Amino acid sequence: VGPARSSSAERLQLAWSQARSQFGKDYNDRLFTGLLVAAVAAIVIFRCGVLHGLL
Amino acid sequence: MDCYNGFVTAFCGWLPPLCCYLLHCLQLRSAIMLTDTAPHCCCCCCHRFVIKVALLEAAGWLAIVFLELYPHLMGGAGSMYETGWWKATAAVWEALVLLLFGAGGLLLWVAFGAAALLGWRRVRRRQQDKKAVLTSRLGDIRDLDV
Repeated sequence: VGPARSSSAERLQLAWSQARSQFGKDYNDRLFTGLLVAAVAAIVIFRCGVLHGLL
Repeated sequence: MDCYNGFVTAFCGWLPPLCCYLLHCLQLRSAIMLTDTAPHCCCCCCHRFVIKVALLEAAGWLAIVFLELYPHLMGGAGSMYETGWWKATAAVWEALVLLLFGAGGLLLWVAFGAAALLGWRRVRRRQQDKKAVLTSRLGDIRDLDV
C-alpha cells in the first residue's frame, strides 16, 4: 500500500538480480581458480611426489 | 584479431616454461629407463606406474593449457561460464561436494582413510622386502670377497 510500493519492488528486484549475477560470477571465478590450482597440484604431485617416492 | 591477440598473449607466457619443462621431462625419463636396475617384478610395476603417472601429469598440463587458452580464444563470443561443458563441470563439482560433505560423507572419508592406510602399508612392506633382498645380496658379495 502506498505510492512508492511499485518503485520499491522494482528496485528490490534489480538489487536481487544484480546480487545473483555477482554471486554467480564469483562462484564461477573461484571454480576456475580451483581447477587451475588442481591442475598445478596434479602436475607437482604426479611428477615429484609420487614418482620420486616410489622409484 | 582480438582472438588472435589473446591467443598470442596467453600462449607466449606459457611457451618458455613449457619447453624447458618438456626438455627436462625427456632427460629425466631417459635417465629413469637407463638406471632402473630393480628386480624384474618390481621393474614391471615401476614402468607401469611411470606410464600411469605420466598420463595423469600430461592431463594436468593439458588442463592448464586449455584453461588458460580457452577464455582468450573465445574473444567477444560470450562468456566461458555460459557454455555447456562449464555448466557440466560446475554440476560435477557440486555433486562431488555433496557426496563428500553431505549425508553419509563421513563413511566415505573413513573408507578413503582405510584405503590410504592399506596402500601405505603395502608400499612400506614392498620397500622393506626390497631392502632385505639388497642386504642379503650384499652379504653374498662380502662372502665371495672373503
